[in-house]
Amino acid sequence: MPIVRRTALVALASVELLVLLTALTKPAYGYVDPGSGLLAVQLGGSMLAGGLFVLRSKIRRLFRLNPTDQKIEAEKSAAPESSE
Amino acid sequence: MATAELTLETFRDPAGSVRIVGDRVHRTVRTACAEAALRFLQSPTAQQWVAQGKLIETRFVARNDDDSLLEHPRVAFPSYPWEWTPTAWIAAANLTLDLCEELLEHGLILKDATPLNILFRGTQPVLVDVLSIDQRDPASPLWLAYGQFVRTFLLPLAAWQSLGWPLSASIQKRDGYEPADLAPYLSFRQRWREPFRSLVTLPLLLETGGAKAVQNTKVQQSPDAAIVVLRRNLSGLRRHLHQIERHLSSRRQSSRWSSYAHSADHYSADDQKLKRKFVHDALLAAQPTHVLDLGSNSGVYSRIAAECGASVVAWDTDLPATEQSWRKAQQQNLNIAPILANPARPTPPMGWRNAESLSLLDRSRGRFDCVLMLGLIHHLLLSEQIPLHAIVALLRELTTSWAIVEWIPAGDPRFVDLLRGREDLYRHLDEAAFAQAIEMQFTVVLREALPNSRILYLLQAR
Repeated sequence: MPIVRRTALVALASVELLVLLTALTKPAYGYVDPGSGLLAVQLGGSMLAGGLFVLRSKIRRLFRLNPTDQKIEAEKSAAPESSE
Repeated sequence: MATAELTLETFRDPAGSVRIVGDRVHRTVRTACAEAALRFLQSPTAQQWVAQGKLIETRFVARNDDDSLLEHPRVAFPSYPWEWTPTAWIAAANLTLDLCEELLEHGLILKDATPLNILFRGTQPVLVDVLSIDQRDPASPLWLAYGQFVRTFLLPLAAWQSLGWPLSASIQKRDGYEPADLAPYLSFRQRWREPFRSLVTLPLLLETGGAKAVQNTKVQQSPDAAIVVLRRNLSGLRRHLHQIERHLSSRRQSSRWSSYAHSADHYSADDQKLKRKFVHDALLAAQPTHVLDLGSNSGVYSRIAAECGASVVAWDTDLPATEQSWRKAQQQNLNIAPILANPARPTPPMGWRNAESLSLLDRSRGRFDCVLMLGLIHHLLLSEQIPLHAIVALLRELTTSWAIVEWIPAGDPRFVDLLRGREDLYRHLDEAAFAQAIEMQFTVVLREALPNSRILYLLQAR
């Protein structure tokens, strides 16, 4: 039993070591476009800012804080009188 | 001396190329690739930019469906970023962002952003690469020249400011520094503080970690969101630039040359007054239009020349003194372009086949009708060890008509300082030797010996 247990432990330790080594291996990025990091920063920032912009517009619309929406609403409420 | 008929031809932009022969600058454009730029150049905004000196003038010579031919005026003396002071770099970077932001209102954008697209007329930067103007995709929040702006403007400036890397080292890099070039030299603290956090550390992490994830540059957002995000991206770059600018103004350096004009103990106040008067009178007699001030220091004589109506290019090797000259020219709105250049070690030609940028001397020959060489000749003779006849030959090469020269006698305290025990080698250099050296090339029009024994000349080229 101890032998089985020891073998199991050694096998587990080997697998762990293998996983660890694989995780630590750095891929060779010899042909990585050197400008890609700066593009990634701009891309990430833009997607975040774009998301926030959309979210903010939705919240504003929800609470009718958007001045253009208010204007449109005001125009809409004024329009039926003139059209009727 | 005739204007040098040097040819310079650009070839990197597939949309068109520029050919400079002598004073003529012709741009051939593939019409289909540059319709937005060609349309914009005829717009009132472009005319306004030209009037403000921000954009080079353009004349349409011929236009058809295949090719168009444009003509620009030649900027009398083009300088390159590796000869600019930090203030000039910042002015060029600000102009690039200003124009890019303004173009957004017209549905356009700059497709590239490098200091090589900018030249200076005096201290005023001017965009000369008109084909940089391009149609913008209204749904894209990205500025495709963002990385190039960081590499060619912000990283050299930040490396100069934080690591002391000279901006002249940019001559080695056609497209600026990569984040990986700087990273090994940054301390842990520097890496995680701005501007390096956004310009070096994060890009590097993303470069090695997720390079495949950023192959796609076609990010699409609603036009309303895209323009807001794009403006935010540009203002992020502007913030970094302002940070560098603030730092520059807070640490105005002084050097042994920057206060030279005030602290020169070998010049009494009367001597200085007499020297300034001589230079002023000589300039009035010569009436030059283009003056080159060699060893200009903080620009005292450049300013006298500019006040006499000349456009001046001022060379010096000392950064704080050149910055001082730049600031005064800007404050007093004088037509002076101070650059960091050394007549004894002039900037070499660079680029593909050594033919993409001209050497300092090739850009200078035939461009100046008057050269000032004041308080410089003893440095060239003794520190640089250039023979007297070779200095006179260079002077003749650089001026088409006039030269204002200060001869420093062997007994002058500054001459003796530089001799450093080599008296025997240079004892023969007296005024007679100078007169002999110049007689084949110049005639003496004015001569004045100052009380401190220095001698000033107005020379006319033979």
